[in-house]
Amino acid sequence: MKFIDYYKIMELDESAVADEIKRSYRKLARKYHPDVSKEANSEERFKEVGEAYQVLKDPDRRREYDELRKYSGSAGAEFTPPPGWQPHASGFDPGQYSSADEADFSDFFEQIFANHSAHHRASNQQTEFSVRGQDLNTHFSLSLRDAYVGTTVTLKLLIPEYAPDGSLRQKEKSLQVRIPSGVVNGQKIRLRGQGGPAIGSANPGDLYIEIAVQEDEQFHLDGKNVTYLLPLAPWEAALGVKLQVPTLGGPINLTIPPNAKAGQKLRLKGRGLPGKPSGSQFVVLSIALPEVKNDEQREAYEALSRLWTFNPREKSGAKI
Amino acid sequence: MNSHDRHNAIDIQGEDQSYSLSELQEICRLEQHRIIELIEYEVIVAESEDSNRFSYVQLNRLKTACRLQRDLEINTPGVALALDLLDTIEQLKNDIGLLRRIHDS
Repeated sequence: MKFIDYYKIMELDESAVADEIKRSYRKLARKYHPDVSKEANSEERFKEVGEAYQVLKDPDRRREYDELRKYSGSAGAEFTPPPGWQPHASGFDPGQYSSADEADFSDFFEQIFANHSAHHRASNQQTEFSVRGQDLNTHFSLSLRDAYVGTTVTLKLLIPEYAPDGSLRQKEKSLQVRIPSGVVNGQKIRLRGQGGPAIGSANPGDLYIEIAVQEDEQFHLDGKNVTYLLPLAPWEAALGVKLQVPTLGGPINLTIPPNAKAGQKLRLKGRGLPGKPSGSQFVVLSIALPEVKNDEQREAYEALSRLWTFNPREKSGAKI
Repeated sequence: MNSHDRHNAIDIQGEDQSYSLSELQEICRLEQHRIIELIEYEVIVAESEDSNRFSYVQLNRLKTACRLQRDLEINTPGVALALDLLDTIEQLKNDIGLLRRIHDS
């Protein structure tokens, strides 16, 4: 078990007073809050900051931690409590945290402060004490193709469980999960009873898997809708053209009407991700201009310029 | 030791689910007056004016609102503003992603 330097996490000096601790927590909580921050490790950092604050804001717990810090040295060093060391602060009071937070705290925290955990207390009480297991959250990222057709995946997770001595430990668990077709970004799959263990006769918690659909090279995803960009040659846009375009469910024939414009959006209803209702595929047209590479092509452009009195800058005010 | 479970108890939380006020209370462990306050500030909105049912999207907004209030000590108008801004950021990011594709194509 590694020693954790809570002062370093909170970006504080060890002489910091209560007000500074609170200010630093507020600043870092805003910076790393998973609902606000999009940094890759924000969730991890937010948990670290939360844990550090729970220790440093409480004078008794902080005193106890400071003693251990003097004994243990630097962050990242292997940590073993001093011989004969007993926690003398009030221990872990689950009433101060939501149940969701308890399992998020590190082994280091558990070792020092959580020896009077809810489970430990429950096992010592005469009357029966039941608490539903906590809900756990995890993420899973899959390709857009897999989101469209559905897939079965094996997830390896660390699930908390109570050891015979009442302490909370992590156990690796392998779960096969069927992800149905049509899942969208941010959607959650609940696996009933696969969360944290219960205390007493209550039910275990649930496991929530939040789905993230990866960016796709061909399709841009927005909810259940996908957008596909279709470049056209100028003559195809002007005269219309019949094309085969890819969709998530396979290629389909599409007729582009004459006088199509760049940015024009065609809707293929029901060709997005499946669901109730299913999404659509939007085909956004763009016009690609061929390079002039020989005299014949230059003459063709010159012939066009003689045939039209077309001013694309009519509204912009720019003039030749 | 690893356990390898095949299980059937899967719920897909999706757009066709809706929740009553008391279900929201139970799921989010909130008192009714707190949810009503969040409705008054339009943090969450019912499926229709004469309905007291809320979609899965609204449940997610409520959960986010609760986390923001708990973790960042934001009051209700602040949470309403934060959620609106987060929605706007999400929409803008999506639009930028699409425009970038158009530009690069």
